[in-house]
Amino acid sequence: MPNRTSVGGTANGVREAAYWLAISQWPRIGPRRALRLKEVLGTGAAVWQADKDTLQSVLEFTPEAVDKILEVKRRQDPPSMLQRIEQTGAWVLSFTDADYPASLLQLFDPPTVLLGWGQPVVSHSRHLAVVGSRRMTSYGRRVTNELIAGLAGRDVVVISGLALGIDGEAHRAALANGLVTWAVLGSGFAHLYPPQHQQLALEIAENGGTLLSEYWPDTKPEAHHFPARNRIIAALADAILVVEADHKSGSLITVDHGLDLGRDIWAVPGNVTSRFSRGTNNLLRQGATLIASSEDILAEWNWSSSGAQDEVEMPSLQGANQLVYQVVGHQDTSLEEIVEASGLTTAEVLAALMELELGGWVEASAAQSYRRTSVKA
Amino acid sequence: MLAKVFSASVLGVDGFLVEVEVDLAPSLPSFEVVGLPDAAVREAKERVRAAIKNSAGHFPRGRITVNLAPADLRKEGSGFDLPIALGLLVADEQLSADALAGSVFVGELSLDGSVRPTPGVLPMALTAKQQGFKRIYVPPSNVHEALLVPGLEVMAVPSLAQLCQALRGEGDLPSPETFLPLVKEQREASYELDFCDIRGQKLAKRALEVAAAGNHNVLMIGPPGSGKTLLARQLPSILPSMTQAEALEVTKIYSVSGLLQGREGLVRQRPFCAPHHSISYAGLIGGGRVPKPGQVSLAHHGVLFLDELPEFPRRVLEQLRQPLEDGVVHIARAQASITYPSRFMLVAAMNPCPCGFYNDPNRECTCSEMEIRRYLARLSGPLLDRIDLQINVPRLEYEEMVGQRDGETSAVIRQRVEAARQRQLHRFRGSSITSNAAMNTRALQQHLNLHPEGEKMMQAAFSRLRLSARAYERVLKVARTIADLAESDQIKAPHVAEALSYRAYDREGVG
Repeated sequence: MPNRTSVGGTANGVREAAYWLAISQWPRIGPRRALRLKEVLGTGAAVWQADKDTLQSVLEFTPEAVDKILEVKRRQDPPSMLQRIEQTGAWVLSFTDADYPASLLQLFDPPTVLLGWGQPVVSHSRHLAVVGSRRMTSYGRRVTNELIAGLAGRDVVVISGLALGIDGEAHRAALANGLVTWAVLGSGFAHLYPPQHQQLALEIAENGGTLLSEYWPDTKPEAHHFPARNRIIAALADAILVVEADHKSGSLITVDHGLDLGRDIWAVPGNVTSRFSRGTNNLLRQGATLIASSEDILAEWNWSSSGAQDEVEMPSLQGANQLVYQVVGHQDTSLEEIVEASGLTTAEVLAALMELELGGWVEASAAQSYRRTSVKA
Repeated sequence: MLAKVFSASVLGVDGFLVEVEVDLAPSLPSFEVVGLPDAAVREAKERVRAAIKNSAGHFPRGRITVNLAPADLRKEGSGFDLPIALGLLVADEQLSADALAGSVFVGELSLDGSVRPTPGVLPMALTAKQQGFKRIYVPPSNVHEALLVPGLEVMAVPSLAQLCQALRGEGDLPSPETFLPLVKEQREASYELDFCDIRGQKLAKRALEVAAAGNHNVLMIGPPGSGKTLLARQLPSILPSMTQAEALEVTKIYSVSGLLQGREGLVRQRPFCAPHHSISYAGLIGGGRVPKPGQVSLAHHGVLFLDELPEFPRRVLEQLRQPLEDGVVHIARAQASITYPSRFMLVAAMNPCPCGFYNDPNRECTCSEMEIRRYLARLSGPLLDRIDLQINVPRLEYEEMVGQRDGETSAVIRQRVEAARQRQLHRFRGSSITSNAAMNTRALQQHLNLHPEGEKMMQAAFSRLRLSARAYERVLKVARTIADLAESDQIKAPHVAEALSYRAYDREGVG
């Protein structure tokens, strides 16, 4: 996005983002100290031009620590740093830029710079964070897909963390339903994590979505990055929906950040015997809003549901497919039961089930069990 | 004086003739064996000396030289004891050379002169017949192997003393039939287990039927105790009956491995081998200092079942690629290169995760995401490429297992399988391909005959089920077999749809 305008530009044409990129690389300057510099000195340009005494008094550092900063600064060239990143196709916003998402400034440690890949981040009418366990069950997969499918056609952004499990499923469901989706990373773009979601990341960036990160492109994923990126997910969202989570799930960190920021906390109830629903059921006990269908989400946002249209439509199926579809219930139905109840041979039932699955009528749940998809039924 | 006696030995699974030359010269007593003998052959000296002394007569004095020709092939085992002893007796003129003409002698001697069994008698007898010999003298326990060769006179040798008497015309050897094992030959293969004994597991049973019909390899994924091993054990019972030629090949391998004791006639049952995952390289593929067929060859024309597939060392699994591709294993040694046949159906089983309970509705899986990933990644792509069917075998609920006997018997299924195989043989006549699984890309294109509806379904499936490109051909091959089972020349949409349901691993593997 080379033509991006910024308010913080200085007389010599250097963008604010360039200065803040450089400043964020200074030793011992994290998001909180960068915020303090901004609060006292105003702009990145001012910080860059500040002398040693000013820095020392603002940061309350020892002279040695400030010397180290100046040593790093001497080797830095802000415009070329910015250029290097923009050459990779990414765009950069600093927290003094006008386009910087305002919701992030509610954090006590907002990302000094935000790197993006794909579409610019613009505000939509609703922002929904969908988070959950990395090891989802077939229940989690189903609920995620159904809830997001129910939002199709609405002006909603689905935000998540590109992780395995619920995160990835949320992104996929958003893409499948034509919704904008943002993925907040715990690493730089050059080290997408997890590697098996590389393709998904590309699809997000190419289909109107955005990959966001506060890290330099060559930053490797490290364990402490992920709780940190959860604060960004929480801040960007209006509501945080937890689909499945165990007691100590990372999703609960997102929820904690969301509570600090005053976001809505929503949870999907689960089976009491499943450990992947212990966290969500606990959230519900503590007062989270129970979400059982996409209508619940629409109601929370005071959006009218137009559900009447998809009720009556009976599948136009024939022969074995129809017979099998009648036998498959809304609950998991095992292959054995379907064969018994339909009176067909195993081969015929398998063929019919696959055709129904491809047509979107039924879905495979756990090993060798099937049920109707709620979308069509 | 010089004496010549014919014997035989085994290289790989084929026999070769060995000429045992014995020279006796008046000199200081000594006993040498030349012609690349191994330790067991060299020790024959001591057994022969004692056996002659204790049974037939007196041990000749003088310089004894034994040559085993051809001299450039390594001779192994103890089967040369008997011919060496006879050669000595002829050289010492205790026996006449004429009595031995036209005969091949095989057998190990014990110190009291009785004759012990030796492995590989069947291929040796076949060689003797081919080379125009009229008679073969074998240990009593090996009589049933030699009797499989038509047109060859078989003599059972209980002891050196009785043999010498017979050769001198002073008595008769007992009839070989008296030594036949009590187990009677089976004209038809029979199996202890039948498909109708397995309750539930309809998908797995159908998948095995398809696998048997097209000679496809199978991977079963399921938690412990779901019956994967039982299903695999039943598989031979629905495979087509072995032809005479196939049965002879299998029997030869068993003969060479010394596994034919106590059974009569050809091996008619398709073999089932289930090596444990701690098996060594040589144990699975074959080889060793004295090369022996490995499990892949003992499973020739049968089923090789590898339970807990990811637990097998990767190095060992990679070695399966050659036998899976070519149906043979080559073992190269400095002395000679040996080829063992190994055309088997691979049935592999694995847990869905290290603890085995991933996706189980009733038990909790205790593995981490990383552990599961690492576990699944242990299988290499090239090996998975050779496995056409992948199925889930879930643990059954108690009620499902105690239900009534259900399904068809193995015999009924086998009939369908044999009909499907016939269709394939007819289709591939004039080429080296014998089953759908063996089709290469070109043959697949040629024999595909895919209905447009089926093609549409393939395209829909690949985008929706996120299957890999390498899965494409596998699905088509399996669909071809399903169409064959349905006696259809064209692959129709339902056939493709069913074939798509056998891609469990591909679908699990998606993060």
